[in-house]
Amino acid sequence: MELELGLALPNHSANNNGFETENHKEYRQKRVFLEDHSATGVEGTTLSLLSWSGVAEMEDGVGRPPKYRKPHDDGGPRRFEGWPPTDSSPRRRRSHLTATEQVVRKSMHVKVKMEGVAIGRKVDLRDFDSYHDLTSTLMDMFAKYSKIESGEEYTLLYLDKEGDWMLVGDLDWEEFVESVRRVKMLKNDNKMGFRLLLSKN
Amino acid sequence: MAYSFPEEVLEHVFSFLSSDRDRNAVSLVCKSWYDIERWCRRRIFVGNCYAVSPEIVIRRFPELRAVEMKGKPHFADFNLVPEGWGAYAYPWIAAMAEAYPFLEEIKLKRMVVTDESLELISKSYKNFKVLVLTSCEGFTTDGLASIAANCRHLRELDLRESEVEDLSGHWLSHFPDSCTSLVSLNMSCLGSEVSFSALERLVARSPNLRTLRLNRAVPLERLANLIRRAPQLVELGTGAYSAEIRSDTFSNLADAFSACKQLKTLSGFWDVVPSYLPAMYSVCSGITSLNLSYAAIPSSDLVKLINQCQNLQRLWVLDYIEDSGLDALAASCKGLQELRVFPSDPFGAEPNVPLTEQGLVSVSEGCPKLESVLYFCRQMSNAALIAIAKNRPNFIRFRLCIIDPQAPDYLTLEPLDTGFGAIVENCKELRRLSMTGLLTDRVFKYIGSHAKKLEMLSVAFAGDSDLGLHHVLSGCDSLRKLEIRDCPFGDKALLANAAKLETMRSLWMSSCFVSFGACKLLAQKMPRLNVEVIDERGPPESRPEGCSVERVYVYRTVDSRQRLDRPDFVWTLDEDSSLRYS
Repeated sequence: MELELGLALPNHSANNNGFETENHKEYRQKRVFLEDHSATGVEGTTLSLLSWSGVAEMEDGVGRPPKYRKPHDDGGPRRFEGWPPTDSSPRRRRSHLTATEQVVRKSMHVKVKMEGVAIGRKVDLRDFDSYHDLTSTLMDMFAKYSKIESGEEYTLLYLDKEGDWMLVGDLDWEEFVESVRRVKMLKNDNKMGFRLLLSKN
Repeated sequence: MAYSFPEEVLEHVFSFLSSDRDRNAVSLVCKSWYDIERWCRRRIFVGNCYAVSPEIVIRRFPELRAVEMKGKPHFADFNLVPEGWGAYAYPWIAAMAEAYPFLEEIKLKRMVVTDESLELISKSYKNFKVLVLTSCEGFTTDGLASIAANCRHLRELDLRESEVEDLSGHWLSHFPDSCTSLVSLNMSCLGSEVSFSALERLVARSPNLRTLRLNRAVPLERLANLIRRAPQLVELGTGAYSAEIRSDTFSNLADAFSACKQLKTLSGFWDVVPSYLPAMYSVCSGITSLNLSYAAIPSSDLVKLINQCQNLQRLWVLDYIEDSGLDALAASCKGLQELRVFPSDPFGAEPNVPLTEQGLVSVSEGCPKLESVLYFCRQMSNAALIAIAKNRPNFIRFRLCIIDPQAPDYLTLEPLDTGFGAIVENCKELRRLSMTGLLTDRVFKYIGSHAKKLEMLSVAFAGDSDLGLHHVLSGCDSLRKLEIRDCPFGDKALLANAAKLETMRSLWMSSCFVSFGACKLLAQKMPRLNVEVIDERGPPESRPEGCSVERVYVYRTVDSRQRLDRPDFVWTLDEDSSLRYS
């Protein structure tokens, strides 16, 4: 299923799952649980080329067994709000951050991923002193190594220390640097967020 | 009554009654007993903060010392209750600050607590001793600083699972040097680092400290010093359990642990480095409760640890334990009473560890005292459930979550009706049940027929028709809480069993087929119920009457006024079924 990042809830056609439908007019599809898009089709077929999980495991503390994760196939279970019913408190939601990302950060390197580009990059936040600085460097980086349509707009999101994906630009630069754990750039179909206008030079 | 005892004698007799049920029974005997009892009641438990108002409580019980209260419905833990729904503690705190200057204990669960409330608590009650906030939210570490600074006789500060806005670790340093009364401190849900020296000094000057649960930011290297200062600890929650492998760190830690002869409960264990687990072995034979639900430990290391803990009664663990680890548990821990197995990768499509229904079957076979289970897995069969039911007729709580909702019996592809049917039929003392998997109306028939002691039932993605709900509401004599999501249950069963709802604490139904019209009718018929339609799509009358509401929450209440603190997505309906919303 396509993951929409718009502000409105996705409106899918009714899916009855074998329920009796007598006497009822509509059956709303459940809201997709947006927080898990790190594992869904946003990265789509490129996920199998990425070795982020592998890299992360090597950085982890001593003695932890490597976590092998098969590439996510789109035939996986539908996502329902609040399912499975594990505690939704922030500590448990942090499960999709790696261990090093969850604790107080030790290094200023964050991974950057652009939608549609197989290989992600890593940047050192200490090299930048403003959002503008960061974004122009990102634009250069990805334009150099990948084919970007000129005039393409991207939305910049960051994974904060609580494990939530947020729009870049909501915090002061210093607060952002303290909080950011990962960055991703998504092709922008929506008119929101921190937009990067990429042009081929 | 001429033959009655004098008041003082009755009061003295009543002082031996601690259970609420007994006290409630006593107050029904006659008017004078009611009066005497209410003046000497010291503790109260309010299961639903909207079932009664602060004014009513204060009027009836003028001399309370301890208040325990719950707010949001259980499904709020899974994000099913929208932000801003309610359960604000402040009105209670403010009213009680006036009425109960001698209040000593406040325990809240799933409520919104602000810094203002915490400050009010810290300033209003001269003898305040116990603050327990379970799964609460809305406050920051500034509020904690007020409590630390002002509650001179504080014994317990327990923030279990609460969502605290963590501004800094400074709050801990607000405990004055004169504070030596701490018995229990649980800060495990906080993120920031506190001053380690302040923490060490606090622990050192608290000779009665029995429970210390640290947060993740307390590194392993600091743990030995802390434990050394509190060898009398009974419950310990470590911080991050990882460090570079160094023999001096290890021996330091092992020594510190060996001095703790009274330790019974261990928790924490973030970021575990398995090589450090043996440092605890000296205390393991006394351990009765072990919470490893944050610990990514491979099965082999888990087994080594568990084999040391022969007297284990409660184990919470991630599914990294695997079926083989559960076999070992079944062999080693014959006194096990409670097992919870959590999923390490709840959103993954494929199983990431070899943990199946077999693990649960093993434990049910090997542990004769097992009575409480919460188990997440990815496959289940009727055969396994039947075996489990036959092995363990003494279950009191049985909560099973199969990750894929509506998963059938993986062997036969049939619904899991007969399996759960066996559970309710064999486990005659069952008080709490959560079911998942492919389930038809038949399982509800079994539940209605057999689960006569069932008090709480959680249902998701189950059933075929209203008949399912009807079986439960008409058959389960002891039912107090019923929570349902994504089931094809609707108006008929609800309206046919309206009277039942007054005998229960609450009913939650979300993403079902309950219409707004039925909600109005229910509210009309049952004036002592609050019927809340929680719907974020705008006014319910803007949609056709047959359209299903997103969520409905029905609870009994003696407070006849409508909730004044409703957000704009909650519609309550009063007697003449006119719509009220803010």
